[in-house]
Amino acid sequence: MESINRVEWEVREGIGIITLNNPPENYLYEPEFIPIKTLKKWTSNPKLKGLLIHGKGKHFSAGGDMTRLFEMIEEDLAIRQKMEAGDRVIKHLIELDLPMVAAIHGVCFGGGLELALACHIRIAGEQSLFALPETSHGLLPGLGGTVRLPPVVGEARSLQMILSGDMINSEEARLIKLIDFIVPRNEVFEYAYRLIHKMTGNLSIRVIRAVIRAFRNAATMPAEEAISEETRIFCELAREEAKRRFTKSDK
Amino acid sequence: MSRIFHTITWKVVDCIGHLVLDQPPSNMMTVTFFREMTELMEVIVHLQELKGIVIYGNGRHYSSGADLDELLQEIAGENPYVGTTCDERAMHFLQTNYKSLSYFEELSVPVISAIRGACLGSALELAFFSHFRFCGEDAIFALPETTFNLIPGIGGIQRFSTLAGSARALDYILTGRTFDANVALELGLIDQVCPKKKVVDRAVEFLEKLPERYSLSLRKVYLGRIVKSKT
Repeated sequence: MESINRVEWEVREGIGIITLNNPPENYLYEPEFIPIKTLKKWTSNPKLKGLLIHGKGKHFSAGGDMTRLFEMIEEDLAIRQKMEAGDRVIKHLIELDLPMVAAIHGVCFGGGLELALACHIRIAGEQSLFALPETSHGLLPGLGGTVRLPPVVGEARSLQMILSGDMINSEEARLIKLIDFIVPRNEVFEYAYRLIHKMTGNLSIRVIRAVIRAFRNAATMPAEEAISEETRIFCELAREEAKRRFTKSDK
Repeated sequence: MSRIFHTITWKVVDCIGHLVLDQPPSNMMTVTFFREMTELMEVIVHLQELKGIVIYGNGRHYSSGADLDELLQEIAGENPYVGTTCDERAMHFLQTNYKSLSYFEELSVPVISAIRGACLGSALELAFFSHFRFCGEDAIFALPETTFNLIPGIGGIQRFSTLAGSARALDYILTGRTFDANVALELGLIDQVCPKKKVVDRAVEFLEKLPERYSLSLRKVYLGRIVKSKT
């Protein structure tokens, strides 16, 4: 296991596990919660088939440390660069094109929720709590929350969550489709781990990446472009598969 | 009933077009099937005034999907040993297949897939292009492409995600596992589950009951979406 800035990294059976370990609230130390260089080194493992993100102890994460953030602003430490660095961390994770699952229990606020929103699947324990409280500090969700929340829960719910800053519990989060599964709170990690294993265990990394890539395209590109890109990916995989089959049968 | 096609049967009864996937028992979608679908959609469908179209399989199954060996041969072309880069010919072949199924959503008449038995891979993708999907209690679904080292290539990823959410879509697509009619209903992939002997009848009844102006609204919905995707 390796760790930096109270974030731990471990690879188990091809599953990369990111553990937020800054108890009790698991505040993100900086917007760039894993220095990008370290993250690149960690994720360069060619055997990676999926990623699991969770928090140690009682909570997933209460998000950015506001006290520290305002200190940084006062000291005029280039806050914009820091936020951009945070975006780059999330972008790097997304562009690995591996299935990413957030295993959530306890609080999942602000930057913590934005990190979870970058995942494909969100699994939460009963009685977890979700909020984007940034506006009550005179800010707005700055790690992609305003962009990634609406496609998940719709514009109305997004506005409500972001403007009110109100907390919602697991049941309500499931109802608005913010989370995908609710499980007993002490089984969240296990459930997430088994789900990734079930999804990726029998597949080659090439196929996994192709699928995730196609999902990403569907979400980010105009429909026609995403479809033609999907056709190209399919075609390449089909040629690879044809090569494998026909070579075998000739022998 | 004339048999101008080898893989499908097209007949019109009381202004309802019956499109039968007709290579029992599995009604596999062959290269010929895709070609005949293109012909049907580009020419034949427009020859008569229709109130709607119902798609179903001859026999116990809707369809078990694409004929994989044939498909791979077609894509690999004459020299399957060289590289994995796709030439224009292979891309054109795949795009034509896509078009032959996606054509349905551009039609200004409602299309229903009436699904019995197996509805796998490209067959489910075909059903996704229908405006409605009814299925029998015995229906079995899957997008098993990843288990053959491929991905669903005819819009399955987009449709599954839109209907069931991307978390569930990812789960079912990566595992490629099958699921039954009730799960499909819960996921939102299917609009109605009926007794298996009644599926086609129910679909026809449904089309007959739709108001005349329905077709017009359908066209508007479609055009609205096109305009949206182009801005």
